[in-house]
Amino acid sequence: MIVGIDLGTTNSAVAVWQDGVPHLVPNALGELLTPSAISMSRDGATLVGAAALDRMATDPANTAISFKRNMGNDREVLLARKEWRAEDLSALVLRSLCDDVEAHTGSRPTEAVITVPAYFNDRQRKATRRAGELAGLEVRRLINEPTAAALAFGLQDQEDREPFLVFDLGGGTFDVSIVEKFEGVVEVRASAGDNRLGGDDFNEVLAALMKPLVDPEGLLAKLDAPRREAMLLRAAEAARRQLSTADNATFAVTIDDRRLEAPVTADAFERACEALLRRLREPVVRALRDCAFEVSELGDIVLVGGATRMPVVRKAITRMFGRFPNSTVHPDHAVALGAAIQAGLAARDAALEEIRISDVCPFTLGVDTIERDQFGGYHHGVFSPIIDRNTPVPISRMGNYRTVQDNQKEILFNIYQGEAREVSGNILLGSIKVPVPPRPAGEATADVRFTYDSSGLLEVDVTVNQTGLTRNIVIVDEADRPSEKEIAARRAELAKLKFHPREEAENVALMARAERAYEDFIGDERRIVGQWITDFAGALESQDHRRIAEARQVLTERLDTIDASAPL
Amino acid sequence: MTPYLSPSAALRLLGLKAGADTPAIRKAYAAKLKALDVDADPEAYARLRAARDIALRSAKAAAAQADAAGDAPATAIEDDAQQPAPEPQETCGAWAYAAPLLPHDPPAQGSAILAGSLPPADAAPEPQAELTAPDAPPGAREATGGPPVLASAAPTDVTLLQRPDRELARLLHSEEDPAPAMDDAEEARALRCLRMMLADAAQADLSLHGQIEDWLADLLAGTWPRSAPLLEETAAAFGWESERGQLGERPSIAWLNTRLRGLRFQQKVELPDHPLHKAWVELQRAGWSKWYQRVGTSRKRINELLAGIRRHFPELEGHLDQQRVSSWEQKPDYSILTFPLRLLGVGLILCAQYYFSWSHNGDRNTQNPLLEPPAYQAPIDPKYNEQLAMAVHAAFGPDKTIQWLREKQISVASAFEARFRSELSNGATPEKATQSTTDFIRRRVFLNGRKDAQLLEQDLQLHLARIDAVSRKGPEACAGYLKSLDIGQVTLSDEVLRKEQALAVRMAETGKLDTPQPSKPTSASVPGKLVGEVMEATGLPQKTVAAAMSHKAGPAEECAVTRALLRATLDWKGPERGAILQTF
Repeated sequence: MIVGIDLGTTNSAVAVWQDGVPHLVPNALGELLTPSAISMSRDGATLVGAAALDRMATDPANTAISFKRNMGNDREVLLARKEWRAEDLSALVLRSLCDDVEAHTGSRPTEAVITVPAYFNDRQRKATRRAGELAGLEVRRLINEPTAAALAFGLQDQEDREPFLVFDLGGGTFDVSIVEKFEGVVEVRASAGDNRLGGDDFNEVLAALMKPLVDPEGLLAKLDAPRREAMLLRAAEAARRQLSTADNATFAVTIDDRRLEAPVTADAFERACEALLRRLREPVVRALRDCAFEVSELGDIVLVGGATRMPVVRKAITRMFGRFPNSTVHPDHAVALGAAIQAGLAARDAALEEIRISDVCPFTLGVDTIERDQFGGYHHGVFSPIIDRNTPVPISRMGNYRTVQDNQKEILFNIYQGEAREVSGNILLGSIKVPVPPRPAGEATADVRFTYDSSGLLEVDVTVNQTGLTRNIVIVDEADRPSEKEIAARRAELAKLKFHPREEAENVALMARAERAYEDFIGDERRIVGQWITDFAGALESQDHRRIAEARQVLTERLDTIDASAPL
Repeated sequence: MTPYLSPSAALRLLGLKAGADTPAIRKAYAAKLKALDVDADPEAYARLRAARDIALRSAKAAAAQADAAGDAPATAIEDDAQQPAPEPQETCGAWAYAAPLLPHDPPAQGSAILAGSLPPADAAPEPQAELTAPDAPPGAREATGGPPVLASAAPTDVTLLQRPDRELARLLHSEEDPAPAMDDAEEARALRCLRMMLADAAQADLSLHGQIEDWLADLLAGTWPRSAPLLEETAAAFGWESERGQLGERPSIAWLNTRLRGLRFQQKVELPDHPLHKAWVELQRAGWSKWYQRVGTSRKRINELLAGIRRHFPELEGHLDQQRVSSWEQKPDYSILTFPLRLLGVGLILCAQYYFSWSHNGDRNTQNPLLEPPAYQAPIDPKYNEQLAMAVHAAFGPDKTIQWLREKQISVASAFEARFRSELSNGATPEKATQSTTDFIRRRVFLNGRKDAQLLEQDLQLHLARIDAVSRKGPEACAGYLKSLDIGQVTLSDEVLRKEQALAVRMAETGKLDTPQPSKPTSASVPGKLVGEVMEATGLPQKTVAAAMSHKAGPAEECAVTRALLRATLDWKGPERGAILQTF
């Protein structure tokens, strides 16, 4: 079975293609969204999802969130005295999603379509694919998030649609795609994005704005850094949520037995985010320019991603396009649903016989060259594009290059991705070296062919014309990809982790939530929550299913009440 | 590459007849696409895409032509496609600031004023007439609410309030040539106009935003350099600098970005503490430079400044005096001096050298002619010899002089002095230069000493002492030392310094301070006893120790292991001792 997975910065979701429609699969807690959070507790058990997110309050040092932002780089986080890469943590989330599908449908998924931000570069895509492999999935295809959302939006009905724009602002990444639909063809015309902009940045701005106001005495400075950051960001997230529905909010943190509070208004927040809001404009302009559309030619503006719920963002969008955006698709579900549609397409489901999707390569790919100026000087590291950005994929293009020195022995091609004229501003994807026959400068030539497939993976062929020698690298399979053995070793490492049995998931999550509440309150309320925790722990020890279920219900209701009245 | 197709060939490829319309083309394309496995045949897909795009374009053009021929009122989009160069007023009709740039142009036709930015009552009659002009597109824009900046503007300043664009254009265009810089009042007014427009742009939708951006870019570029004070703020508001160096950078923005960077450099170099400030001031003076004026300015700085400006900010050369620049650019050419004067100058320099060489005990009698500074360089600091002596003392001990070093090893003495002088001429203090020469001798002692069986012991004892000293600054400093052999800012104890000097003297006297030969990486097997001691001393597991020994561990581990292993080996008397010590 192929599943569609939205592996998000904040939340992840899984959907299956069943009976001609995509369905989201609920997790063990009955929710459709699983927070992308991992926590490793002191007793050696690993928590995924809501329970892990609650432990961000009680044990931030052993909890990781927003790890998608480190996808494809070497940064590691330390949990339970071990180093973990973003792809390992993502693999744990993917595995938990697979468990949910298995529990729901009775069969374990073996293949998946995983979504990535359109502006994810080759390294980030590779890391995502590896995460899938670590979770024991064959990744049939990586699909761009806005493209997936466009599928979900476009296939709501049979009608043709004038060009619409998908505005996808997630927790950590921002993508824009301009899409057309006609005769069953969903065609992405242009994509652009900023893979360093998302809802998390708004939290950081709010935390930075409120930190001096809420803590004039500098009490926070006494805490260790991860705990302080976690506390401020959690308070920012809560305040930001309040600001989605009201003009005022309270920014509050609890340190030991003191509650620090400060009010924040929507206006102040909007002013503080001005720089972020301005960054929303640039990718939109670039995408429009690339496909030569005017704003007035666009039909709907489709909002995707949890961060588009923020009134400040909606206001900025309304201002940018001079009209109200379309919010008929669920901002958190559309991407996973689109991934499930793609999964259906990959499985050649009959219901999708008449649907075709075509995407673009959102960035420029090329090699570095040496240029000679009119004074005879050499300029090194000049980027020579082979595939221009927003070319429809799959695509195969060729460039021809020649030697710069007499009797040059070999040509080294460094393969880059990016938009800067000098390669130093771009991302190096790999290198390939070919020997050339000794000839006067410029007489030995080589053809470089770039082939970019539908999943966004690049293959490079170099042919030396004088000798007919060919070298080939598939960028995704090159040196920095760990060998099968290494992947197996890391998979074994992940398999060693202990998880709570599925039937306990609800109890574990509820306990984590209660502990979080204990942390959030002071005085009498804290004592009461402490008593509830003791009661619930007693019920759990009894191992009496009926008693546990009752206690769980009671505690859930109690926490609901107290959370509703809390300033957080 | 994408194949080129004629429109008829494109239609044939899609299986259509001439005259097919847009829906037919799309339908045919979709049918062909569904029959194709694009992943298996990307070339066929590229051909199909190209055929579709070409067919659509020609169908659109044909439709527009038919409309025009049929005398039917053309719709806006088709009109655009047909006319090669649409009038700017037509496309910009919706914009409040659609007026052409030049102040003496007639008032723009068909321009409407942004509804929100108009104060209702006190508008002057002329713009009101424009507002109600019959050809103004009615309701072209939804009001977005008045920009806040307008409320704070002085109510009497009617022109500025209503048409900041015109006011700005008027302020920036100057009849005089070359245009003078704006005076303070003009600049303040221009900035106010600009801010109003930027505030409008921030509230505007994307197309209006783009129009304001393009208009301002054209205006600023067209009135440069009078518009210079406005550039920084405008560039920040539109994020122009994020486009810099990109493949798709718009030419007008690229032009302004270059100027912006030049402007920033100019602001910096005009501050007196900038290293190139003197050179900048010198090159701005009018006329040829006299030879005596050059004494206070270093030629190196002048060259640096000119090379930098020409390479990065070519437009700044206009700020310099051409005559001055060319007088500096001539190679040390004293053609402006008469021949007798030149002779006199040479004579003076010779005298000065003669005087110096006598007054300092003939220290410089045996100097290497290659290291003699060229005559046109800034005169040597009279304290130079004193400072050099201090540097020699630091490296070899207080009883040694440069003369002694020259006698022992002339190549080392030359290199020592060259290094010392180049540090000074690069602006280092004598202390810094001394530090550099001491490090230089220290490195040679260490690298040459460990190749000599007799010196090895002493050499590595000192190495260990230095590692101990830098480790007090933390693992980063230690790793840095192991890599570069520079101790940086760490001060060694007097005892260590004395031992270092003694070893350096010993090696200089036996002629062993030559340029170190690059050594091949050596390896030695470390007995388990030593590994055990290292593990005990560092508290690291065996795996980490082994990794650190083969330089595969982190800097902190490597540092700790190197230190412990060196100490253990020095205390040990086993047979492999020499081989292990060679590896450090």
